[in-house]
Amino acid sequence: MADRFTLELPPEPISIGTARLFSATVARFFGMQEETVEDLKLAVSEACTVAIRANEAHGRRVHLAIEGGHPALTFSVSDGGSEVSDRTDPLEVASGELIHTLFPSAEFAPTEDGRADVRFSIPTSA
Amino acid sequence: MELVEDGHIRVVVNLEEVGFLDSSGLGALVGALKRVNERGGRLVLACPDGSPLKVLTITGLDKVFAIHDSVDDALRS
Repeated sequence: MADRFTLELPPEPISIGTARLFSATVARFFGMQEETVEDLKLAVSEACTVAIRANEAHGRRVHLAIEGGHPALTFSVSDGGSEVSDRTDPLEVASGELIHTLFPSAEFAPTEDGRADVRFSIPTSA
Repeated sequence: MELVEDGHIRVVVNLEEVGFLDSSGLGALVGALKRVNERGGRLVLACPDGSPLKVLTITGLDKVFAIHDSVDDALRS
Protein backbone atom coordinates (compact mmCIF):
# COMPACT_ATOMS: atom_id res chain seq x y z
CA MET A 1 0.00 0.00 0.00
CA ALA A 2 1.29 3.46 -0.89
CA ASP A 3 2.19 5.84 1.89
CA ARG A 4 0.33 9.11 2.23
CA PHE A 5 1.54 12.21 4.05
CA THR A 6 -0.58 15.32 4.35
CA LEU A 7 -0.10 18.82 5.68
CA GLU A 8 -2.79 21.42 6.21
CA LEU A 9 -1.33 24.92 5.99
CA PRO A 10 -2.72 28.15 7.41
CA PRO A 11 -2.89 30.68 4.55
CA GLU A 12 0.08 32.69 5.78
CA PRO A 13 3.44 33.25 4.01
CA ILE A 14 5.31 31.62 6.89
CA SER A 15 3.63 28.32 5.96
CA ILE A 16 5.61 28.14 2.73
CA GLY A 17 8.83 27.32 4.55
CA THR A 18 7.03 24.61 6.51
CA ALA A 19 5.74 23.07 3.28
CA ARG A 20 9.25 23.10 1.80
CA LEU A 21 10.76 21.45 4.86
CA PHE A 22 8.01 18.83 5.05
CA SER A 23 8.35 17.94 1.36
CA ALA A 24 12.14 17.74 1.50
CA THR A 25 12.03 15.53 4.59
CA VAL A 26 9.65 13.03 2.99
CA ALA A 27 11.63 13.06 -0.28
CA ARG A 28 14.93 12.39 1.53
CA PHE A 29 13.29 9.62 3.56
CA PHE A 30 12.55 7.86 0.28
CA GLY A 31 16.10 8.38 -0.98
CA MET A 32 15.50 11.15 -3.49
CA GLN A 33 18.71 12.65 -4.84
CA GLU A 34 19.67 15.97 -3.31
CA GLU A 35 19.65 17.85 -6.61
CA THR A 36 16.06 16.72 -7.20
CA VAL A 37 15.14 17.66 -3.64
CA GLU A 38 16.26 21.23 -4.39
CA ASP A 39 14.01 21.30 -7.46
CA LEU A 40 11.18 19.85 -5.43
CA LYS A 41 11.54 22.54 -2.76
CA LEU A 42 11.30 25.22 -5.42
CA ALA A 43 8.22 23.66 -7.05
CA VAL A 44 6.44 23.19 -3.72
CA SER A 45 7.33 26.75 -2.75
CA GLU A 46 5.88 28.11 -5.99
CA ALA A 47 2.69 26.05 -5.74
CA CYS A 48 2.11 27.00 -2.10
CA THR A 49 2.89 30.67 -2.74
CA VAL A 50 0.18 30.81 -5.40
CA ALA A 51 -2.30 28.88 -3.26
CA ILE A 52 -1.66 30.94 -0.14
CA ARG A 53 -1.89 34.20 -2.04
CA ALA A 54 -5.24 33.08 -3.42
CA ASN A 55 -6.60 32.13 -0.02
CA GLU A 56 -4.98 34.54 2.41
CA ALA A 57 -7.84 37.02 2.39
CA HIS A 58 -10.45 34.31 2.91
CA GLY A 59 -8.60 32.40 5.62
CA ARG A 60 -8.93 29.12 3.73
CA ARG A 61 -6.31 26.49 4.41
CA VAL A 62 -4.04 25.01 1.76
CA HIS A 63 -3.56 21.24 1.55
CA LEU A 64 -0.29 19.57 0.63
CA ALA A 65 -0.38 15.82 0.06
CA ILE A 66 2.47 13.45 -0.75
CA GLU A 67 1.61 9.95 -1.90
CA GLY A 68 3.54 6.92 -3.07
CA GLY A 69 7.05 5.86 -2.15
CA HIS A 70 8.97 3.68 -4.59
CA PRO A 71 9.26 4.12 -7.53
CA ALA A 72 7.79 7.65 -7.29
CA LEU A 73 6.28 10.25 -5.01
CA THR A 74 3.34 12.37 -6.13
CA PHE A 75 3.03 15.84 -4.66
CA SER A 76 -0.21 17.76 -4.83
CA VAL A 77 -1.16 21.20 -3.58
CA SER A 78 -4.86 21.87 -3.33
CA ASP A 79 -5.67 25.45 -2.61
CA GLY A 80 -9.19 25.03 -1.35
CA GLY A 81 -10.94 27.82 -3.13
CA SER A 82 -9.63 29.77 -6.08
CA GLU A 83 -10.91 29.15 -9.57
CA VAL A 84 -8.52 27.99 -12.27
CA SER A 85 -10.17 30.39 -14.72
CA ASP A 86 -9.17 33.35 -12.52
CA ARG A 87 -5.47 32.62 -12.88
CA THR A 88 -4.25 35.46 -15.01
CA ASP A 89 -1.97 37.09 -12.47
CA PRO A 90 1.49 37.27 -14.12
CA LEU A 91 3.14 36.06 -10.92
CA GLU A 92 0.89 32.99 -10.84
CA VAL A 93 1.59 32.30 -14.48
CA ALA A 94 5.34 32.64 -13.85
CA SER A 95 5.12 30.24 -10.92
CA GLY A 96 3.28 27.75 -13.08
CA GLU A 97 5.89 28.04 -15.83
CA LEU A 98 8.66 27.50 -13.31
CA ILE A 99 7.03 24.37 -11.91
CA HIS A 100 6.47 23.06 -15.42
CA THR A 101 10.10 23.69 -16.36
CA LEU A 102 11.30 21.77 -13.31
CA PHE A 103 8.78 18.96 -13.71
CA PRO A 104 7.34 18.82 -17.25
CA SER A 105 4.76 16.24 -16.19
CA ALA A 106 3.20 18.69 -13.72
CA GLU A 107 -0.55 19.04 -14.08
CA PHE A 108 -2.64 22.07 -13.23
CA ALA A 109 -6.13 20.75 -12.98
CA PRO A 110 -9.49 21.99 -11.81
CA THR A 111 -11.16 19.68 -9.33
CA GLU A 112 -14.84 18.70 -9.49
CA ASP A 113 -15.80 21.47 -7.10
CA GLY A 114 -13.92 24.16 -9.05
CA ARG A 115 -10.79 24.29 -6.95
CA ALA A 116 -7.31 24.22 -8.43
CA ASP A 117 -4.81 21.45 -7.89
CA VAL A 118 -1.15 21.35 -8.82
CA ARG A 119 0.19 17.82 -9.06
CA PHE A 120 3.53 16.36 -10.08
CA SER A 121 5.35 13.08 -9.64
CA ILE A 122 9.05 12.56 -9.04
CA PRO A 123 10.95 9.26 -9.20
CA THR A 124 12.65 8.12 -6.02
CA SER A 125 15.72 5.93 -5.98
CA ALA A 126 14.97 2.24 -5.53
CA MET B 1 15.07 49.00 -1.47
CA GLU B 2 15.76 51.47 1.33
CA LEU B 3 19.30 51.93 0.06
CA VAL B 4 17.99 52.79 -3.39
CA GLU B 5 15.44 55.20 -1.97
CA ASP B 6 18.27 56.83 0.00
CA GLY B 7 20.11 57.53 -3.23
CA HIS B 8 22.48 54.56 -3.45
CA ILE B 9 22.24 53.60 -7.10
CA ARG B 10 25.33 51.44 -7.52
CA VAL B 11 24.32 48.25 -5.77
CA VAL B 12 25.80 44.77 -5.35
CA VAL B 13 23.32 42.17 -4.05
CA ASN B 14 25.24 39.41 -2.32
CA LEU B 15 23.57 36.02 -2.85
CA GLU B 16 26.63 34.01 -1.77
CA GLU B 17 24.95 32.85 1.44
CA VAL B 18 21.46 32.48 -0.03
CA GLY B 19 20.46 28.82 -0.12
CA PHE B 20 17.02 29.21 -1.61
CA LEU B 21 15.44 31.59 -4.10
CA ASP B 22 11.90 31.39 -5.48
CA SER B 23 9.70 33.68 -7.57
CA SER B 24 9.00 35.90 -4.56
CA GLY B 25 12.71 36.54 -4.19
CA LEU B 26 13.06 37.03 -7.93
CA GLY B 27 10.26 39.56 -7.79
CA ALA B 28 12.12 41.55 -5.14
CA LEU B 29 15.32 41.49 -7.20
CA VAL B 30 13.55 42.58 -10.38
CA GLY B 31 11.81 45.37 -8.47
CA ALA B 32 15.14 46.59 -7.11
CA LEU B 33 16.74 46.41 -10.56
CA LYS B 34 13.91 48.45 -12.04
CA ARG B 35 14.23 51.15 -9.39
CA VAL B 36 17.99 51.35 -9.79
CA ASN B 37 17.71 51.54 -13.58
CA GLU B 38 15.09 54.28 -13.32
CA ARG B 39 17.61 56.33 -11.35
CA GLY B 40 20.39 55.72 -13.85
CA GLY B 41 22.27 53.37 -11.56
CA ARG B 42 23.53 49.81 -11.76
CA LEU B 43 22.60 46.70 -9.79
CA VAL B 44 24.68 43.54 -10.07
CA LEU B 45 24.43 40.18 -8.36
CA ALA B 46 27.16 38.22 -6.61
CA CYS B 47 25.91 34.68 -7.12
CA PRO B 48 28.18 31.62 -7.27
CA ASP B 49 27.04 28.25 -8.64
CA GLY B 50 24.13 26.83 -6.68
CA SER B 51 20.39 26.77 -6.35
CA PRO B 52 19.79 30.56 -6.72
CA LEU B 53 21.85 30.68 -9.93
CA LYS B 54 19.91 27.73 -11.29
CA VAL B 55 16.63 29.57 -10.68
CA LEU B 56 17.97 32.69 -12.38
CA THR B 57 19.00 30.57 -15.35
CA ILE B 58 15.71 28.65 -15.61
CA THR B 59 13.73 31.86 -15.61
CA GLY B 60 16.04 33.57 -18.12
CA LEU B 61 16.87 36.30 -15.63
CA ASP B 62 20.54 35.44 -15.94
CA LYS B 63 20.33 37.51 -19.14
CA VAL B 64 18.67 40.42 -17.36
CA PHE B 65 21.03 40.71 -14.40
CA ALA B 66 24.77 41.17 -14.45
CA ILE B 67 25.93 38.17 -12.42
CA HIS B 68 29.36 37.61 -10.91
CA ASP B 69 30.84 34.70 -8.98
CA SER B 70 31.72 36.76 -5.92
CA VAL B 71 31.25 40.13 -4.28
CA ASP B 72 34.87 41.00 -5.12
CA ASP B 73 34.27 40.32 -8.81
CA ALA B 74 31.03 42.29 -8.70
CA LEU B 75 32.73 45.27 -7.09
CA ARG B 76 35.46 45.22 -9.73
CA SER B 77 32.93 45.16 -12.59
